[in-house]
Amino acid sequence: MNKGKTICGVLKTIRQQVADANEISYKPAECHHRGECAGTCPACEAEVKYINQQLDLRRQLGKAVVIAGISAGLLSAPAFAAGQKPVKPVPKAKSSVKAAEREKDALVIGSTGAAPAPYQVTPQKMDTTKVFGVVEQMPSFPGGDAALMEFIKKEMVYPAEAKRKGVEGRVIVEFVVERNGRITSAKVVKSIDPLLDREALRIVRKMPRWNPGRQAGQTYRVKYIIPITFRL
Amino acid sequence: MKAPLIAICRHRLALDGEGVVTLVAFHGCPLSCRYCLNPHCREPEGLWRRMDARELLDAVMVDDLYFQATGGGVTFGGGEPLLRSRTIAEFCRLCPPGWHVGIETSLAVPQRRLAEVTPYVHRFIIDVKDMNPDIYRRYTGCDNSRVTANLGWLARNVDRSRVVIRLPRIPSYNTPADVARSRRQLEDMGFTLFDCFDYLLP
Repeated sequence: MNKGKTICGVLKTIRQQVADANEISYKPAECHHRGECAGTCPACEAEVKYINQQLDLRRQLGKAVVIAGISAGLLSAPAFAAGQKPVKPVPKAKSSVKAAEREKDALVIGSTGAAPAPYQVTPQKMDTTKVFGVVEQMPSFPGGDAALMEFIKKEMVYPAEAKRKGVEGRVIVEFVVERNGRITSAKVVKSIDPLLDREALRIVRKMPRWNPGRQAGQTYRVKYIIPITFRL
Repeated sequence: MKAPLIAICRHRLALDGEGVVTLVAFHGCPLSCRYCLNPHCREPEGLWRRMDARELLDAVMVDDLYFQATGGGVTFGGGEPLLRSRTIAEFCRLCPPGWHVGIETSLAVPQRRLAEVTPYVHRFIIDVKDMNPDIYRRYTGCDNSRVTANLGWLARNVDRSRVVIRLPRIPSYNTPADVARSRRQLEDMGFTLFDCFDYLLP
């Protein structure tokens, strides 16, 4: 699933939760769009508008409306342990900001082919040699997050010495997904123990080629971070 | 007054704080960082459009439902957002009270600009580069006395749990020992939240 689809899924859940909390009849329309998605589209925006209208109606009728914090915690990052759903890998925030700015992907919505959204800008040609933090379609492990989790689980060989010492924890590994999907520049950015760090790097370097990051159809080099949890 | 922008980036999840966040990135920066990922923020062609506080609010209001439901809101970045402190303060006076406001700044600005936005900002993300004046000057081309003075002002006037300090390891400019020295200096000032990471060069 690309990043846009993930965002779309989260926003849809938020809409559903707000609707349910306020007894608004709402069933998200099934999205049949395949390919790149910016996270929202005219159909999604229309659903937000509908929920806002329903909320206004309830306010006018003097009914209590509940929105604040309804979906708080939805975006908190869970621990990424073997057998658990992985944390959505997130690039370094500052880099992401800068990359997004550079790409001028401001308010890029409505990628379903409908009329351009307000403030949509035409993506500029970017330098394909540079490493970006965020692109429209982030790189992905073949088969998605679940497959990545499965790969890590299958590949992980808990270092015997670390096991004996009772060392466990989460190693954060950063790498670059090249334009051809290869993984390069892998390094540990948050270390737990040299033995676990080494194993985490071994797993990352053994990963198959990823689906590369894309912006306006063009592949780009993209920095990525994943957590690998060692639990005894 | 209309402020120059380089981007408005919607639906940032778990990147700039809790909840759904819209990043408002301003044009213009007083620093010339060697590894700046966005040198266009200092160049005329990097300007995307200009908006005043009301127009900015109208542009981001489309995600009010998401902000309110998730405890998210708006993060100002750039470029250097504090160069547009008046617009930010006005925006904050206009925006719904439930929105969380963040700011990503170098603090390399006059103190009055920092003071102008402080009452409205829930989270400061401070990119100090390195506290060593020589390293800072080599990397940014600028003096860091304003940064240091503004950090002192923040430490005295703001709940330090609202402040996150970014401490990068900058290849060819500082070392892990320099980063540790910066951190100790900042801890002595009372700061407790740090984001330490390495700049990754292509």
